[in-house]
Amino acid sequence: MRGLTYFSTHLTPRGTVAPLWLLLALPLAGALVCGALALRAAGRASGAPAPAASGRLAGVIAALAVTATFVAGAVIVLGQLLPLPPAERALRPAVDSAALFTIGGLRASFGLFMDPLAAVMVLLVSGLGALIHIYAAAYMGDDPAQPRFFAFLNLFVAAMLLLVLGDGLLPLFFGWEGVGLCSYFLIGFWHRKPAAASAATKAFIVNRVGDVALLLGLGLMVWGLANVGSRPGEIGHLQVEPRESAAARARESSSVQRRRPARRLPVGPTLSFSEMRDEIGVEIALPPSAVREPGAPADVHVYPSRALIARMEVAGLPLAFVACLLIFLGAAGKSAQLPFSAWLPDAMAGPTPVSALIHAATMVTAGVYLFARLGFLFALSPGAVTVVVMVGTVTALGAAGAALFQNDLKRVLAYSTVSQLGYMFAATAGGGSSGIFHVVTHGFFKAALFLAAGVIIHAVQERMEQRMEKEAHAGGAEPAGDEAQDLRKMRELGGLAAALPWTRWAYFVACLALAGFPIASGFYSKDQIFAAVATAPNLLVSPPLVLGTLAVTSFLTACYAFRSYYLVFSGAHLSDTKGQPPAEVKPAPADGPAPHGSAESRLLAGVVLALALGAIVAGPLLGWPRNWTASHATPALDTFLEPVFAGNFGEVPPIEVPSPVEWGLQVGGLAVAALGWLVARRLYGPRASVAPAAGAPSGGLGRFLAGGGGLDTAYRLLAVRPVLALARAAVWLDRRVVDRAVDGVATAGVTVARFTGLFDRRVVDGAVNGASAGVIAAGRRAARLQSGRLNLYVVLLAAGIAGTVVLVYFFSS
Amino acid sequence: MSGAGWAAIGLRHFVVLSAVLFTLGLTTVATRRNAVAVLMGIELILNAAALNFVAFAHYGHGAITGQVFAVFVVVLAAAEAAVALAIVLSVYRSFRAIDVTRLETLRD
Repeated sequence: MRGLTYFSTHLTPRGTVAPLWLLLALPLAGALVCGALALRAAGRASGAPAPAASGRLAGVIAALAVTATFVAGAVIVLGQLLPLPPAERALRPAVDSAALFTIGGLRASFGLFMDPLAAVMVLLVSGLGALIHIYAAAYMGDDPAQPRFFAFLNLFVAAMLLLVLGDGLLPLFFGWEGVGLCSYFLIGFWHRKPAAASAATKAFIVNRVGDVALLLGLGLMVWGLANVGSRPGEIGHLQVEPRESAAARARESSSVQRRRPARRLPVGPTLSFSEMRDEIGVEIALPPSAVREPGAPADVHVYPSRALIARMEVAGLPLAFVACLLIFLGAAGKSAQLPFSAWLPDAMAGPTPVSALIHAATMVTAGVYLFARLGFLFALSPGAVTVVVMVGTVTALGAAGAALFQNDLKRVLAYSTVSQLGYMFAATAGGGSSGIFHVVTHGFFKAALFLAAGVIIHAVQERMEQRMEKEAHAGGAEPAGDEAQDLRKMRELGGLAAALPWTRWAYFVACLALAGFPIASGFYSKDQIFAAVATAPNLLVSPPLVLGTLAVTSFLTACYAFRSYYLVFSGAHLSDTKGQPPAEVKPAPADGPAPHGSAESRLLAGVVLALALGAIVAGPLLGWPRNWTASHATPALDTFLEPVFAGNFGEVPPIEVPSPVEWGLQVGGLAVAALGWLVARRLYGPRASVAPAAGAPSGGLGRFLAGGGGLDTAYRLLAVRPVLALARAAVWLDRRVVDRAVDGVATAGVTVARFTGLFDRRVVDGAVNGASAGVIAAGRRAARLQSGRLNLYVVLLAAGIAGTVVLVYFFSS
Repeated sequence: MSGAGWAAIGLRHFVVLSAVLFTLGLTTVATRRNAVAVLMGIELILNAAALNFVAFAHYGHGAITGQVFAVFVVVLAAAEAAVALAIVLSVYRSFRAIDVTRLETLRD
């Protein structure tokens, strides 16, 4: 089209070369080595039990691999990404498979790409991963299956890094399924426990449902891109001019501005996220003459542009809405949001380091990462964003309520994770970095909480082991309905403050962070989320409603956080006074397991403290609020991630929260959190006479929430039962109809065969046999002539000659 | 060549003699069980044939073709006798008999 120019204010930078594959290779190598150790141990298992030495070796190797990954990641980010100017911060590996192969008009790529968003996720995953690996190496002690554990843990890190580094649907999906697989293996690590095995299966199946939706959603987006352009389904090229955004132009002085050369941008269906974003981000500048002519056709925009995609429809609904909704379902499955949230509490059947790394800090945040990565898509569909925000908010509230009524410490933390992930989903409203900020802070404080829980479990190991044995004897009990067992957990754990002094403080700090007190990081990220909701550019529900729900959730969060803290650490140690029959109490630990005082191993407590320290400093360091500085400086993480989210809404400048509003949000958030703390302290604190609600939840609502809001029942009614009924119907159909038909055919075949057999034997064989018998009989007869008597032969010869002569004589005359 | 009752000896006499010889030979072959006797019968048959050749040659067109054939027959008979006697000897070795009626193992 003559006169038109194409431009884009936020073209993805080409990227400088960096050894990104190394980040995947290191944990993968660790996984391979540990896997080899596991196989060797399994081969030897038939004879002597595997030595603990190879288990410890696996732990050390795994921890080293992930630590090396973190160091490599930090070197790459600090040494290569940060020195670049903000708008050009992007790294690609030297071996770039961005255009790996082309199927028809589809560019399929398996490339890696590190932008600020991926950098944050890489550092988070490998950093927390390294700490948790170190912790796990000490935590798993003498478990003979350790090599298998560390193989999957390392493989998980590799898959997670592939997920966040992959540029496009293919690598993302590989990583997405990889982390799901490792999660499955690690939840079911103690696969002899029926609860663990069924929890693993549940997590896997629920995740698969979401994954199908994710694939469909991304496929729909690819289809959408295939249908715009001059020749649908084919790759075209566009000369696109990079332009400075209005904000950047305003920021820089005009003398600094330089024209960057136009880039040849491929357009058409693509699997690469950066290419997708670039295509959608292309804008068309009409020539001045076209603006003046009123009769010019409106649809001269033949290339994909934000407006075109936004206008496309599928099945009567906007394409962007449907695609985003499907992607949201996938993210909800991975991040345990309604209606898929029920798998995460059950997943606590896995070892505690797994719960900390996979089911709290990293894997479950993959959904939030996906929203951030695909922010350009969600910007096109206010409806989808609204759905995400509402589901996130409702999940946050419901899970916080459920956490309040749990009696198993790890289940409290699991519901808390679901609830915090709800916050992150709600943060999608802003289309900015607040969700990722909360991923980072949550990663620290929730990992600290989980690892503290691991120390607590270690400290009371013998009793836990006894119960596990009992559970194993009880067998097959539903993990969700197993209240009689779960009920005892936190009651047994009272008064551990003296035994575990360091862990107690770490847990306390993490609780402060979780509840949102400004000394620790949760406050800062939650504040940003509130601000994001308050200033959401395209939210279809009223922000105060969402904010109100989140405020109630904050209150509940503080409540359950400190409830668990008081139940575990304050009060008397119940096992010292009552509850345990004397027969079960261990004798004085002269040679037995170490007493509680030394149960707080230095390494375990050190890791927990390091995470707690991270939970304190990460918030202020990365997200010092705007209104707390004189110059209204943008928070550090926000600035770093700005190029990732910029341009998603076109030229609309980001809305900044007015200072009074932000002050109001901060004070309000602090107030509800403090209120929650006070309530928890009143009910469960050191001065509370009894802990009534620590027993079975009495009220109907309590029981409802304790069971996870009836989700398991809903699953049973809506999914499990229909599937089983379908299976039964299929079995019936199989037995009654298909088998009968097959049997009938077989019977008919046998009958026919019998008849043909008869015919064959009687008729065909008879004819053949008859012929041969006739020939044999004739031969016998003829053989009689050969008497072997020479004299007779001579006589016959002579007679024959004589006869011949006579005949010739008579007939010739 | 003297005597009235006697006609001159002609072709007819030779033919009759030859026929008698042939019949004697054939009878010998057909009836004797001793293999050597059978061979002697064959010798008679051959000589009957040779006699016929010579007689027809003499009373025929006068050439000596018949005599040549007779010589051939004699040579052949000698060769045949040599071979046949060797066979008989070998038969005797395996059967311990030269009775031709017992040589019937090839029948079946």
